[in-house]
Amino acid sequence: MSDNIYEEQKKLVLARLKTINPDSKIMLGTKRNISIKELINHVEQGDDFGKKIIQAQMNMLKVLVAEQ
Amino acid sequence: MAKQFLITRPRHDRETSYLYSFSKAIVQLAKEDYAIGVRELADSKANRTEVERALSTNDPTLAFFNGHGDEETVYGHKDKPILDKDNVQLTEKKIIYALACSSLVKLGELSVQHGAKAYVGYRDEFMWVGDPSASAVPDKDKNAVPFRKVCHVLIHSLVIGMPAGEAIEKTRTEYKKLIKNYGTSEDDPFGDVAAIGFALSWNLTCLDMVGNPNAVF
Repeated sequence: MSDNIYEEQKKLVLARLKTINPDSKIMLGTKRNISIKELINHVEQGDDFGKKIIQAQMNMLKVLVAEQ
Repeated sequence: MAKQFLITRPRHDRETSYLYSFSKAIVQLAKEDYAIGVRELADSKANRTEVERALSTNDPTLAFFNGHGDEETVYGHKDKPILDKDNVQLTEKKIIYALACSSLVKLGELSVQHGAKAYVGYRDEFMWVGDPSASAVPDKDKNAVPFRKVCHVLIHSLVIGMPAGEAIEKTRTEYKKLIKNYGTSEDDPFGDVAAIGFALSWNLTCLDMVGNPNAVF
């Protein structure tokens, strides 16, 4: 993926995540909770977890725009 | 030859209590089906010795592991390993579904290399949203409803004899339906709806299988 596309996706995902209650907690099977605020931090930092979050959110957008 | 349905259901912490709750319905349904022998390993019985005993059978077996996991291991009661590289050979000729984090990555591959028909699981962490105020009673947690639904769709599909690949596709379709329902926060800007949508889309991205997609129980 080119850097430009990645940066555009990152902006889009951050914009979406920032519409969610930042204190909402997601439970992970690995015995930890993560807040939306923390998800945003991972995306902003561009770490591996942040990149996976972008991928999941892009998949979500594909589902949302797809026909039934 | 009787079909054997093995299920591990540890319940020693908050996360495993949710998974335990998610699998209640399938245990009930399977026990009502006289064509299926159910071996339920709940709580302290979800241990390595019991699992190895249950897997040491030549009967057609579907094994459903609920619990913590990582790329190389599925854990049982008190987070003791119950399936890993040292006993994975026992999955030969069996269909495995692990509702556990990340185990598909290495353990799933290893299981199929040792002759498992199929290994269904997650390539990364399994996520869900719980209502903190209801955390002590997962059965009553409304935020967990969509996650319970997809988990049930997948295991029920496998139990009734749907090929593993079809069961995954059916579950992906269910995930997509739920994502459409929970995908936006327009009607719930300060609630958990959009977080649920996020977690569903994460799980959809991570759900997969290795082995034969035509494998049936």
